[in-house]
Amino acid sequence: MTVLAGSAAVIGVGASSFARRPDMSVLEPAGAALSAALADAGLEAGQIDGLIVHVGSPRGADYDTIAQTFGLSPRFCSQTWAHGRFAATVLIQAAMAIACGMATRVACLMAMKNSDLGRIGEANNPFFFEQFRENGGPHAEDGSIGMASPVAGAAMAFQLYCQRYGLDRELLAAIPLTLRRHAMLAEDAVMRAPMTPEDYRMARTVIAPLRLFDCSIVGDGAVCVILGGKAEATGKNPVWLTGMQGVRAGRETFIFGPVGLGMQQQSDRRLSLGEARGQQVYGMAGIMPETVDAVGIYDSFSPLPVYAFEDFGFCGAGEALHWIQDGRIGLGGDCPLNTSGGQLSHAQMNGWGQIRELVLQLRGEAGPRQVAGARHGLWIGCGGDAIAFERS
Amino acid sequence: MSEAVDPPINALNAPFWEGAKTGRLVLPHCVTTGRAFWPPAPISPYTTGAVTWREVAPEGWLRACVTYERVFQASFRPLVPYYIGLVEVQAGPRLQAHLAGGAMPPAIGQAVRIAFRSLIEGAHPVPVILPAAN
Repeated sequence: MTVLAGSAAVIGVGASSFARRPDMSVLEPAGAALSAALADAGLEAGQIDGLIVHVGSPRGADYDTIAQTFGLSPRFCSQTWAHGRFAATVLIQAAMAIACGMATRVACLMAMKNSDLGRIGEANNPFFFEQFRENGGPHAEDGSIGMASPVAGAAMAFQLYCQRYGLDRELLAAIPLTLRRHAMLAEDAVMRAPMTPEDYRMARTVIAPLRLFDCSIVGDGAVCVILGGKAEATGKNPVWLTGMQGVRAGRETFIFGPVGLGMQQQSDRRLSLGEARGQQVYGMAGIMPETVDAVGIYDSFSPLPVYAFEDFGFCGAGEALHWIQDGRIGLGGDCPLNTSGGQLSHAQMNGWGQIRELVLQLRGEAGPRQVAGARHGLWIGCGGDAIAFERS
Repeated sequence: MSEAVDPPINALNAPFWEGAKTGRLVLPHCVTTGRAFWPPAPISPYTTGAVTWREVAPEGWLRACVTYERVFQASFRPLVPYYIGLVEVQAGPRLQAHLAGGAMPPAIGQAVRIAFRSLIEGAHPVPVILPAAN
């Protein structure tokens, strides 16, 4: 369909530990993830000719610092806005750089340290002034009226969603409870203590209707994914990027809600099932929701996968809170979600943890979490972005 | 030192904040279509044409409401718990506004109106939600 489909593959993936270490340099996890990804790909640092950095200073390190510090000499560099929503954007840009001949092996690196900062929304956090951004914060914040923290926009969208469809908010428990069970099978997960329905229900409210376990804790750590073109993807188990679509924006979008929910200035017109199943990523990859063996979804807040399942046609608008019940999104279910625990329980790595997990699943390297015979993986971000992955 | 709480005011959005000082809801309108819009823009989001500012009725209805049970901004600590609501005014646009805690919030769908109050002493008046005037 396009020059991009199937033109680049993940040829190496690596991660640091995700322990919260306020005294460390963010360059430590960055270096650990980079060296692990290079070793996984069987490459030397000098063979990396493209570098795309997600997050950057002050929570992370910028592309020039990364290249200088680790002895890389890329001829194509880029870096995104320091928000979580750009994992797919980084990978798509890397694939475009490869398809267009700008680079042959692109290291995509997300590194950050949050444990030495106040929570987002508080004064001791570099994002504090975003809630005073002209025309509103990036997640609907408005500090002048007391609407601080990204939690608020996520809470308001979920309240609106439950109100609109007459749904019981307690159905949402399936997301955090399932992801905690997945994290218990991942040795490097940050949150591995068992969570009961009672634990979820009784946890303190942050901004009603969202509670403590509906919100991820922004983490410390790094993930590196190396993409290569056809000539480079000769090693073990390349995982191809077969379909892609970028982050969406505009008056019909809200970062923590589905299209047409009625947040901010959105209309009330949700995507039809046909529109949702016609998303670009599916056509480019030649797949449908039912083809997908393992799904990774941006889950900084537990309602986000609910909306993604609807906007990407796994079920109809207003149906996902029921659709996710009864084990469907667990290991062994029809649609295993965030099989290492996602941002809610594995580690809040801006989605890169789920992308790494999809690569491991498609290579058959997910250990006790392995989905038998996994061939197709789908990443869905909170900005309407998506990437279809497929093993050879 | 208290944290910053005032909104970012500039030449583009000044009509809204000037109106706020005198309790009037003043919104930008597309000259071509006559429709009000939000947030402020120097060109119409409907037509990219000219924009004019006009006072509109502050009445509307409550579409969504969340409850702050955690303090994020030290300046607003004494106000917690409080509500933040999404109000659709009769002119069409939706505004986020503060709703004082203490009482039960209005039910979703209920008629309300936008007014302007300083949330803490010395702060700029900002949109707040009050019961609809009878």
